[in-house]
Amino acid sequence: MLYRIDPALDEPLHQQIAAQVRRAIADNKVRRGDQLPPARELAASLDVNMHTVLRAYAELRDEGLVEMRRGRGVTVVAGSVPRARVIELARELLAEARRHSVGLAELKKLLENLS
Amino acid sequence: MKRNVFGIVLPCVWIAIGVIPFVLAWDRLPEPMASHWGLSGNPDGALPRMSMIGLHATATALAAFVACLITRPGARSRVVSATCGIAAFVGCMFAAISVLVVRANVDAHAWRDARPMSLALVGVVVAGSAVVAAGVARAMRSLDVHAPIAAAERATVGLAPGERATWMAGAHNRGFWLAAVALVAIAVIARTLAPGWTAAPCLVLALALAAFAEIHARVDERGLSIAFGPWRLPRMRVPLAKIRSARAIDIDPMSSGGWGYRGSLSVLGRAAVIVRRGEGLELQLADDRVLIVSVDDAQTAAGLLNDLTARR
Repeated sequence: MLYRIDPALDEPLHQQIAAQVRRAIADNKVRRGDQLPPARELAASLDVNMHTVLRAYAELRDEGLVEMRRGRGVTVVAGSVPRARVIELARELLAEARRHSVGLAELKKLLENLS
Repeated sequence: MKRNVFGIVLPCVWIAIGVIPFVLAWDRLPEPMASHWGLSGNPDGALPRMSMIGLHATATALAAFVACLITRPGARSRVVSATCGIAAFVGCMFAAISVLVVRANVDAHAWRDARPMSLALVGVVVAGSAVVAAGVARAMRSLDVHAPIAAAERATVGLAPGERATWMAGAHNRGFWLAAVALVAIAVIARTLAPGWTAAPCLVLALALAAFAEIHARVDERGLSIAFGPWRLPRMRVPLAKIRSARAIDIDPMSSGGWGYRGSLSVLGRAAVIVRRGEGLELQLADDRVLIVSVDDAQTAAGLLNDLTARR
């Protein structure tokens, strides 16, 4: 898959990387069981610190999209396609709410009322 | 398909015609057998049967090897088609001479009793081989390179100035994996049944298969890198400075001369890393050299390489 980052953007680099992977998972371009590149290799190719990549991977792991295992690298887990889509939309919603100064409490209430 | 015919089918025919007559008539040939005829048409030289079959097998196999190696993807240049023609000439001639020599020797008590060789017949063989060779050389020159997947325009991913990007993907062939595992199993069985070196060739072949069962490709500001096998070694690098342009193509392994590493960048100026049928990347390098690699998502790789090259 293609990883592209733009240091000129406001979005932190690790979030840009995580967003790319999330997008690829949602689009089914990276599938269950596929390995993400070793953090060292990706960092060298993008000319960023290895910890930036590890932070992106940790973010994806916390979202339940990938699994990190010692010696086996980072692999995409089962059922991550719908999950990645929902997380993308949730992030988009949160960003939009922030832009319009809608607080988290208000957003939560809104979602509760909707469901 | 043509490459398939010239690179695999025709060479197999040469080897078969070069060897089978000896095998069929083995017990009816004198030992040694007549191997050379003078201008008068009478035999004037002899060789042991084993040397004769060895000579013909080696000559046809060598011609077949050259033809198979040379009929690789993108083979269009004059040198390539001429070499393929010469291989066809040598292959056809040795194959036809096998038939003539065996026919002359069969049922002779000693090599001096072998039937005379007609100069006209040899002339026909040489002329016939030359015609076949010319046909092969001509056909090879008209062969097209692989069909591009997308339109003729230069692929791009629209890389913005200052943007950093890398593309990582690869190609897999499950069949190679299965074959490698099967070979290891055979090696283990062979080792237990007959201790010795029988297992070694199986293991070497299994390793080679595993190296082409999966390849990992990477494009970044340094250029293209291809790593072989699950252990990602060895690694082949093509610096960005050497890349002129890239495009996605549809690879047909059978008409490219087969799977694995075909050709040679340094010797023949063309090489291909073919893992499976389908999508692949074609690089036009400096000095008009061409490299083809089986990869998924080749259009993106080509786009990124072109954008990085343009930025340089």
